[in-house]
Formats: sequence, structure tokens, C-alpha cells
Amino acid sequence: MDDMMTMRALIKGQLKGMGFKNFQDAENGQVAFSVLEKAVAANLPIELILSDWNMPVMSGLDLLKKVRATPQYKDVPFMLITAEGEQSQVMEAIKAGVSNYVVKPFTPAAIQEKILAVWKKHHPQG
Amino acid sequence: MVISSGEARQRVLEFLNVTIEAVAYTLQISTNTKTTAGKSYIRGKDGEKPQVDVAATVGLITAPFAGALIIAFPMKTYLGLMSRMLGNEYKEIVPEINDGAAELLNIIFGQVKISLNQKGFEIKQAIPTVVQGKNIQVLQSSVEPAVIVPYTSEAGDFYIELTTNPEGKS
Repeated sequence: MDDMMTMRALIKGQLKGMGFKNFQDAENGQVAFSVLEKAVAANLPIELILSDWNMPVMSGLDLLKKVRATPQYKDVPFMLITAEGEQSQVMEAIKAGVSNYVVKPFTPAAIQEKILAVWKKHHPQG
Repeated sequence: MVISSGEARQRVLEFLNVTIEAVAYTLQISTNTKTTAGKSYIRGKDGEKPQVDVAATVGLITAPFAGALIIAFPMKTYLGLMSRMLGNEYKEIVPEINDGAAELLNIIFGQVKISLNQKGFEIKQAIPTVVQGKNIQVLQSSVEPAVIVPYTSEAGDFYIELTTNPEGKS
């Protein structure tokens, strides 16, 4: 999720290029959490979350904390893809349980490598 | 923190130099576009305004000064950059590139924050907003003079503008 539609389109393009087929997007953490709940209710659980940090309504960090505090979602891999790259922020995200952290700007190769690393760690069977 | 106006001006210059580097880095990585900064100049409120069609602005709240940072593009440049960024050819603004200028500015701003907050600038987090329209005059008509940096690139010309008010610090 990202409040910027352009970034959502960019990330979706990268995911498509990597072979991912089913994804949903959201413009902030609050909408994303609702998407998570609906997906679980529909028995189509979300298997990877990619989120911006700096968004209105609910930030990516607040969503991360909420996801980690919710038993049925707490193990979902969660990547922050953000322009917020100060060391204190990275540490805060690690403490909150982020799976990987990408600082914008990124090249297509760099983002794909990080997504793949997280995916393989949580889905070793492929 | 007590900062003299001379020191604040020095901080503005430091901010501008880091921003110029961040623009080049961000456009190179995000859009695979080489850019070259031209000679910066100061424009008063009645000065000539570059003709642009798409722009994004973010408010600046820092320890040494307050102000705004703007990035502004003629349509041809913007569409070229978005085409390079997303790997599709765009001939007009469509929803998926509606806020691309704000995203680029967000990334630039993030790079500036990473660099300068290590040096005590205390730049606050902010979300950029987009302005669009034919020949819009987004460049600030503030009472303070603005610094404009023109750029040339493989996708066309564009500009950044920094307006500051050293007395209006947070």
C-alpha cells in the first residue's frame, strides 16, 4: 500500500514481472487492515504485505504494529518500502517486527531482490 | 537552538546543495534519467516564472528555517519521466501517474532528510501534494525571494524551487 497511486502502479508492475498474480492495493494503513480482514474472511489470506511508511490516516509503521499485535496476521511477512530512511526509523521498524526495509529510490532489480528474499524466507517451498 | 540569520542562510545553502544532489540521484535511480542542474538564480515575487504544467510541493519545517520545496515539470518532461519510471508510454495524464510528481518529491525529500537530519536540521516528516494545469504558476509568489534551479535531462527540462523564511523557523 502507498498513498501515491504512481508508486502502487510501480510496485504492482514489479510484482507482475516477478510472476505474482493476486494482489490488492490500498491507500493507507487503515484501508489495508480492512483488506486483510476481508481477505481472511474470504479464506484468501494475504501472504505478503508491502507498505509505504508515510501515509495519511494510518502510517505503515502503525499498520505494522497493528498486524504484529493481531494473532491471525502476526506472522505475515511485512516489508516497508519508504523514503523514510533515517537510522532511528529503520531501528523503530525493526523493533516493530518489519521483515525487510527498502529505502526509496530503488532500481527494479533491487526491489525484486528484496521481495524475493522475504518471499523465499516465508515460503521456502516456492 | 538559537541560530543567527547568517547561519540560517548558510543552512539554506546547505539544504539547497543537498537537494540538488538528491534530485539527480532520485531521477537517475527512479526513472533511469540523467539530469544536469543549471545555474541557480534568485527570483523575487515579480520575477519571471518558468512555464510548467505539473508540480508538487512540500512544506518545510526545519530547525534553521521554514519554507517550501517545489518540483515542477512541463507536460512533455513529466510524461517522459513517468514513462521511464513505470515502463509504459504515456501520452497524457492518466490516474496511475496523477501523483508521480509528488512521489518523486517525496523520495527527494526523504533523501534530503536522511542527509541533513544527521547534521541537526530536524526536518519534520511531511507529505507532498500535486498541482496540475496548463501553464500553471505553481512557483511561489511569496514575499521572500525564491531560489530556482533549472534542470536539463534526457526527458526534457524541469525546475526545482526553494522558498525559505529563515525568521519563520519552528
